[in-house]
Amino acid sequence: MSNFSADIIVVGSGPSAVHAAYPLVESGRSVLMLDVGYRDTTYESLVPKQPFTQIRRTDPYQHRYFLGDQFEGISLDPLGAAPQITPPRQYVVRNTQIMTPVESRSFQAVESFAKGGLGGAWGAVAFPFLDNELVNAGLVPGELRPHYEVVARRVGISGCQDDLEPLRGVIQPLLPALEIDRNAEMILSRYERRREEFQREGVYMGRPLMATLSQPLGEREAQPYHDMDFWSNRGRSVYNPDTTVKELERHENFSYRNGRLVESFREEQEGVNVRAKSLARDEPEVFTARRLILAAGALGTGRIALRSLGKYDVPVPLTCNMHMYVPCLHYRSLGKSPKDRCHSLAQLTIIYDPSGDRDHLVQAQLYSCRSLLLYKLLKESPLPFRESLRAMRSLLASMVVFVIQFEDYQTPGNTCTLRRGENAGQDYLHIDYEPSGESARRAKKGVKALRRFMRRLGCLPLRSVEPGCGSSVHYASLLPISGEEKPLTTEPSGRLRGTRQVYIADGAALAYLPAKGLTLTLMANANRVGQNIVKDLAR
Amino acid sequence: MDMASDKYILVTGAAGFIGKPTVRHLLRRGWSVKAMVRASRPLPFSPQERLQVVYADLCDPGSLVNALKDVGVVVHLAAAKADEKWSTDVNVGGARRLVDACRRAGCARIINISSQSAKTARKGIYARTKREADLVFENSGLRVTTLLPSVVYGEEKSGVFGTVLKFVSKLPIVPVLGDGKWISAPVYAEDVAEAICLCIERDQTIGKSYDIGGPDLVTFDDFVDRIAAHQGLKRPKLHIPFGIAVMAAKVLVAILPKSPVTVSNVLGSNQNTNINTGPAIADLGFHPLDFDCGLRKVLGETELTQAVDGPGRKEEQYPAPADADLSAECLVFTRYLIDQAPPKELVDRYIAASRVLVPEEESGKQGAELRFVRRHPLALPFLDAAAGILKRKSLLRRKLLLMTAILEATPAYAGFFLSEPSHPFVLACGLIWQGFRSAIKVVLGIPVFWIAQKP
Repeated sequence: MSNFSADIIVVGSGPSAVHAAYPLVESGRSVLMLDVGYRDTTYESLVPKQPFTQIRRTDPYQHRYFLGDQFEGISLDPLGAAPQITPPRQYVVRNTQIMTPVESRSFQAVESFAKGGLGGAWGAVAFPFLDNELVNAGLVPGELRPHYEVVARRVGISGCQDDLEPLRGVIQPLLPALEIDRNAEMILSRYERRREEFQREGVYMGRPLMATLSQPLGEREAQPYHDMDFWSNRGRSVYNPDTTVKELERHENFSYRNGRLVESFREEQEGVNVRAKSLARDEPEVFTARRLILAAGALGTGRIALRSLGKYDVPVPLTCNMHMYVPCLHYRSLGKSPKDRCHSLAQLTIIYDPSGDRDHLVQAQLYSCRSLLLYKLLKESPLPFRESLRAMRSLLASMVVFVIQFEDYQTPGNTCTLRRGENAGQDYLHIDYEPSGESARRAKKGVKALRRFMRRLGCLPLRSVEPGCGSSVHYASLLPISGEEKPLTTEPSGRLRGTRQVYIADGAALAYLPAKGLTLTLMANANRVGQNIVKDLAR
Repeated sequence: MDMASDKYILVTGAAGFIGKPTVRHLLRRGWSVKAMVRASRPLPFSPQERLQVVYADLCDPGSLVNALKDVGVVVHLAAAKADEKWSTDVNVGGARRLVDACRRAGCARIINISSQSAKTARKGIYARTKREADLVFENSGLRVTTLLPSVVYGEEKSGVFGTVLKFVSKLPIVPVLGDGKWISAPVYAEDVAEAICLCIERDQTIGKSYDIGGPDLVTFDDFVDRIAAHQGLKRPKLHIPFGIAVMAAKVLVAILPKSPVTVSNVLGSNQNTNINTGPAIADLGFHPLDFDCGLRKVLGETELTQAVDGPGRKEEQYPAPADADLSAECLVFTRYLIDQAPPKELVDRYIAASRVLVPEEESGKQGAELRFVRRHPLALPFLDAAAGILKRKSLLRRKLLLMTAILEATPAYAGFFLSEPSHPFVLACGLIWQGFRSAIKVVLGIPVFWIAQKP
């Protein structure tokens, strides 16, 4: 069958795509990765390898990456969806709304065409799901566990074993835990002193598992502790899937072609035709392969599958973790000088188990917000700017933000539909999404309880910011894994039901989202799907 | 519906805000109407054929039985609207007495007008008694249709609409109870009257309840802004936090004989009820006016043309600011924020950023505060302070924020933005001092803010 472009075509280059491709490349199969693949290092290359405060005091060009050449980093409106999408990271979400439009009244959908996908701007918090969570998501715990280990070894996860383990899940190959900043040290030690009391009420705290290196791994450097993680990742300490693309490119049987927007597929007697648009020449191209893996991000994958199967105007489920920011004043650290040596990513994880049965968990990450700049905080203050500036400056080092996450189940009203556009050949995704009464109630209770614990930990909650549906950028369940023979679902093996040669390897397949970051699980599941295809092809 | 032609429709609360248009609509559609009013109220109708005025009181069962003679349908609008001690007796007791009287008089059909607030989780007296009354009707065994209108507005300026209208036209700053994000579907009183008539005429509405609202969902802030815009006005809003508003309402109700706001008002205008007018549209064929058309009818024709041409506001046009204006502004802002004059490079950056990020200024819409500061730079600290409380999103505040962001990303000024370790006591004193300064500036700033609003 030499007339195939490759044995396997993988769509996308994000966390799911690269780990689905990995076992296939290792097994010697030829793999072609099709991707739009934006990469823009203009700003990142300007950032000196120095700590945050030193840069702030010395670098005359800092306005270019802090504010952006077109001032795209400044938002004068109230706190938006993603303050962590700073100018150096904005390429990650560039152009998606133009090329793949999404329409919704209530849902902000974020997609990525970047090389490395949304993995180019993620928070790097790695969560293995618990067994019950995996089952709800449609996965088999015993089957997935080994894949967690494989992926963890590839990605490099730093962390340690602590109180969180029973609620967070375990993975073995750990690099030592990262250092944490002054606020986090104080809060953690306060928790540790009153541990029994907290645990009795279902609150567990510890260090997050982070996909950033505490020790060098391969060509990647260890975390530099410059507190610049939202602006620069030059040593590649924080895992970005584009590193894995680079690694795969060393194999002759792997090729990466960017500038391709995959539109649809068609199954033939033998093999799959994949229709893509070449963005450079603005014309269609057709590729062929024995198997196709869709890993374009949950929404992208859903769009391609629905379009290919002609399922216009058919609503499919959509889940999305609701999340909330609670900025707090950690008053016990007031006046203390912050450590200059720290990273800006999540410092601590809190898991709250309201019912004591590991079900319906609520999870929060603690961040210090110094490196996101002071003016973003001033925006929220009603004081006159002059006084506000002087007051907030002395509070900034003691300001922490809890980012609280909630689980999401498939609900009848929350759907995503592919609709035909006004012009022939154009279409768009329409999203109806509103948190159900039940989950909103549970979330409200969870936040209330967590705010109480925050106060006991010495953090005064200032307000609760709900950035709106969709802003967690954790989307899933468009083509959920199901044991039943239902159309538009994914078989437990990862194959798209009703097809013979098309596999779903990203969030679209997860049937449920626990209150945890999903990226590590996506990568582990993708690796599993990749290996299933290796076995399938060997047959 | 089939009703003997000699039967009447009884409208309770006929002298009210919705009652009057309802009586008018019913008469126009050829029904005979009994308008029930309390003896204490002046007669609101001119005598005409097919209209009979009956004096009765919901608290007097005897008068009800009399009123219900020859009645085939009751439209129940009467209610105690403020949180009064007799609310339970009028709203719940009245419902019971009405149901009893209906049974005795052999009238089986009731159109019960309730309120969206009956759907809220946390209820004041009004909402609670209306909910209880709804249950009385639903469990009466009679042929009941319940309507749950959202905010109703009309020629007679009453209810939430009347209060907001009064505030907007009389006060320079409009107090808004809560965060202003509460969503309602304002509906024209005439449309509610129409919906009532449609219910009477369609038997498939029996045993159902319907949300009644206009086609536009508007936030409370938007509601205030649009009413102001229709009068050619623009009013800053003062958001009173929910907790404080509840307390204030309790105090006002306790000390004033007729308080302008009640606890029910505060609760009702802070809890969303997910108004769904779909069933009413489907079953009644009900097509209410949109909010702007309705307001035009109620408040007159003239102002709307001006109001629709900005984002719902009357706004004068000014030429786009010249570079010289912006660089003068940059100088004033920098002096104010950090007591220094900015280098040329920073001024240029500020001008470029203004042009990109504040496009409304380019198109000639400028905030009154910003224009005032251009003319009177010394007023800046005070206007900033007042705008921080009264108009957080004003152009002045947005441009000050922009200036701050630019200063922050400049190494020479890093010291103003990075914290220094200090003793907690010194720090606390500093905070108190800044808070004190802010408070003084707000007090002095509010009159300046007022003056700046004047053209």
